Amino acid sequence: MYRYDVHDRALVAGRVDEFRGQVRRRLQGELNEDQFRPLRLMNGVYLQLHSYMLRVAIPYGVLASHQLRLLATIAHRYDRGLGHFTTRQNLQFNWIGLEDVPDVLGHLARVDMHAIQTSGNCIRNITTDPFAGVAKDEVEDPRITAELLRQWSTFHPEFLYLPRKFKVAVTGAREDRAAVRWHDIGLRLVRDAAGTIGYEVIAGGGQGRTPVIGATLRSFLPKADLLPYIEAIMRLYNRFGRRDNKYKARIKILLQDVGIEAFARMVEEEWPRVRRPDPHLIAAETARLVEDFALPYRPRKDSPVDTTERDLAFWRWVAANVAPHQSADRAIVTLPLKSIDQGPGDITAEKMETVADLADRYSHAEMRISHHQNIVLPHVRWTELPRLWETLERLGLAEPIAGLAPDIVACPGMDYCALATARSIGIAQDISKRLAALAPPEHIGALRLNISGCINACGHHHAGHIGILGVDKRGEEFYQITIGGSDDYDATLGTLIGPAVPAARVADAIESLVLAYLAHRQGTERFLETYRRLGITPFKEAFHAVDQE
Amino acid sequence: MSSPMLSQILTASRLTDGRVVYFTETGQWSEQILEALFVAGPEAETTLLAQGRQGVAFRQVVDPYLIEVVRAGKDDPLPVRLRERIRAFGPTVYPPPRALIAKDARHVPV
Ligand code: SF4
Repeated sequence: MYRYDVHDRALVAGRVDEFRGQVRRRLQGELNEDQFRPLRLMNGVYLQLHSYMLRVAIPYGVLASHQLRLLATIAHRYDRGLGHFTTRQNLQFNWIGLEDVPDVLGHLARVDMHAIQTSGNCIRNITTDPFAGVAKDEVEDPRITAELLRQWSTFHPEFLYLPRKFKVAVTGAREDRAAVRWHDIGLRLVRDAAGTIGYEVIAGGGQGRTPVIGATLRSFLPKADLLPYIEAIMRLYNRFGRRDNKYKARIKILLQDVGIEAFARMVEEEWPRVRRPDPHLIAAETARLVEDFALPYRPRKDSPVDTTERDLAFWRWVAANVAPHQSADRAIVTLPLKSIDQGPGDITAEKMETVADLADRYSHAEMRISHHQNIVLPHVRWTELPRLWETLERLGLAEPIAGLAPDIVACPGMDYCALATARSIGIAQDISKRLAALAPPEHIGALRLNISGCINACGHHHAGHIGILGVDKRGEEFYQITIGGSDDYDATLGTLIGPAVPAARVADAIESLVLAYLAHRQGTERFLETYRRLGITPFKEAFHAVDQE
Repeated sequence: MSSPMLSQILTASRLTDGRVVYFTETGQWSEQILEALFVAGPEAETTLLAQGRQGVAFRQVVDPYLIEVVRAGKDDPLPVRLRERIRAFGPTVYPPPRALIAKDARHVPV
């Protein structure tokens, strides 16, 4: 894992001291709320429905067991014993007192964690593939790029006051597990015809009230050119992005106004003017990162043969939650945080501690957080899978659902969020219960359900195979349902299926869509494939039948 | 039986910890909606909002505003909007365990 150096530590400690002073001045009345709000937002502190909320960064989703243990202690001591993993690989505490935030940040700093760039109009925490560095289908470990970008972007003086927030995702695998086309900038590590590794640069993607799928700005960018090229994009955005209207301030709107080709030409003109970083420095830092991110064991080509008879339940779990690893004797294990009685991504302090112990025992003390709000153990030996499974079964963390219908993604919605127009968590629970009664998850197959509690789309409903958006209709919670969205490389935007339905009918509506799929699917076709083959009509008919009841 | 009556109460977030509070008859800010002061009519509402501004000036609260409540039964106030009911009574899903409320867990070593 990447280790903080003395500069990182000094920077984070300095920030804690600075914010401690700002909180003191606020509590003593030297700063009013208007003056203080941007300062607290720069430190991940929001004022939500019940309390202050602190958003902690988990850079590119990599988390060590001692860090998770500290998060558990903070949850116990300063929160209500609960944390929430977000769709951007961060963790939110929903019940934090402002007076406690400096101490909490101080504790976090001791384990190299912070809340920097988790909010405000800056380059936000950079996200990546939760299987980075161990995925079998990987061209290169994207964490090296993500860390370089983190170092470059942290407190970059030019980019602290952008027109709006700016989200970057990096992936290095053939399968997109980072939703790169839905980001302001998405970077995809690819090989050119000669086999050289570089980047496909995608820009202008984003969700929210104006969903846009990112377009390719450059199909191959040599690795050495990454920082000046990205800096050129940021400069153009900083200069030409709209600041007069917050709803039109994201780079996607600028790209729509200018046109992707014209913007690509502007970047080509701009980036030679950007000062190039010292190539020796970048090479030395990259070499250090390669070493830091190297596998903590020697990868093997041969896997042990296990002839032991095992439960069917074990194999169901392997089929859904275990993914192939670069090393033939290891596996990547997903722990879904989707128990029916909790919200997607929610985890109690007790469970955090237990999972940290499991990471110590089975995964070289390392975990990943996925943008689907699950925890991943990236280094498990095949021979230890049965024992791990038994433990996870006892803990309720072995539901065989990763990537299947009950693996629902949802934002906190109106149960916590001050901006929400409707609830998300209860809807996720209703749907989970209904689908559990309908068929085993593997029978329904790969299906992404995403729920957002308002138009800001933190639950990524636009990209859900089935997307659900909570809206307010004359004081009542209603839900718009879209179908056909995707966050893969071939990203698509979901299409509205019909009029919004009241909360009590959402599970009926979702069931009707799943039943329509089961009735029409051919062979092993997945939900999205059936939808793409048939179009919206059969799903619309099924939905309308429910709507008319 | 009398029909439910619509009134206004003043709510805000407490500055120090962000907790939901209500302005009471005794001029305090309380976490209990049952203790909120009810008013009706534009003049009383204006006076109540002025109390909110004073709470901000005294660094007691942030973002004060009036909400509509129904008084039914034994006069227990029920906010009209769902958002305000969630603020008053907590999340509608898996209520966070009371035993783990921050202040009760200060013995946990870090
Ligand atoms: S989508 Fe809306 S309700 Fe959900 S977390 Fe984002 S801002 Fe809050």
